[in-house]
Amino acid sequence: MKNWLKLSLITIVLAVIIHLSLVIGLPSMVMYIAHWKMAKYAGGVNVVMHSPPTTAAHPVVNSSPDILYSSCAFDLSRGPLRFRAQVPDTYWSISGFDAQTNNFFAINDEQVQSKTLELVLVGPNQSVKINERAQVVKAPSIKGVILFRTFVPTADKLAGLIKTQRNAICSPYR
Amino acid sequence: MKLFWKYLAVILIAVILGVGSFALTIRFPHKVTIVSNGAWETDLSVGSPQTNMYMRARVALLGLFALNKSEAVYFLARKDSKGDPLNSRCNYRIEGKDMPARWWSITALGGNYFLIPNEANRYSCNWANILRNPDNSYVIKMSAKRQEGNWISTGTKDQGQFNLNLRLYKPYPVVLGKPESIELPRIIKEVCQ
Repeated sequence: MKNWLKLSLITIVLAVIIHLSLVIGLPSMVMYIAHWKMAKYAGGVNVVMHSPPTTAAHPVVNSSPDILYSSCAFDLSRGPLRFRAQVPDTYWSISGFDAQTNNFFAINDEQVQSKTLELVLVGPNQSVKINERAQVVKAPSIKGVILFRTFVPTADKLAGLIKTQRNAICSPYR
Repeated sequence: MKLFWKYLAVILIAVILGVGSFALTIRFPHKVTIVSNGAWETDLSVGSPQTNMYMRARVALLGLFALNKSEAVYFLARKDSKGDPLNSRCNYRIEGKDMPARWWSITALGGNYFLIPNEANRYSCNWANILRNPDNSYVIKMSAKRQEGNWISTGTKDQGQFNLNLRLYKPYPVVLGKPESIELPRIIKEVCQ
């Protein structure tokens, strides 16, 4: 009886450990895989990849068919990065996701004063002096993902928006 | 040898319990932070670093790269307005009006939360491309077979259960303050095969 109780307790403790490991570790694992895949398709980290209009073949779960996505798997271990993008006449946003999948910032077209966004992304322990009109955003993790979203209101706007979408770039900040 | 089998059984049962309970918490999230509005449910902590660890895991699996509530609010429907699970064997009608946001869209997703493959590439309707009635209301038809006007494909009849994702981009303050009280589209089941 005592032995049976001991085995039951070990089973429950082990099950709780497995359960909590999955809950806590899964977001980092999913982000690690997403980061790795995005970098692979883009040809490396810190490169913007422009996805075609979203269809059922889109590799990211629950993505919107009304949005054009561009992404950049960032790695700030070699220093800050500069992001530049043209802002179209429709809903547009740039957003950052840390290594835990949290959305740590989002800036949309209504918050960009000119038609071009200039943004410098710095790591958790990095700082940067800028002499230009650029927004500085601190990332909570060295690695993560930057996502550009462009709303495609109607099909006739698609070609023009793809042209604008392709102006988004990411480069080391010097 | 007997001891080996005993501990192997312990490990196997623990794995089944640990993984199984995790899958259940993802499939049936805790209701504390979830707000219901008719057939729709939302969690305003999605995307935020302040969200709880279960919701973060759920978002990582089912809604990676979700924005936080100031930028977008996501409502999910797994059932119609009468509470029956959405199924591709049935035709549905979504009736609604414009919602309090800069723009919105309604998208059909498969049971795995990916878009449902269909030859017509009709996955969603949005605020700009929807055809409205004279009183600004709209009706969206959902079926496996193509229909005229506002139509979202549910794939093939054997697709099985599906979900709807309602996105409100740049939601107005009422969405963040009282998400349970805003007027959201009704999902009405028509014929089933």
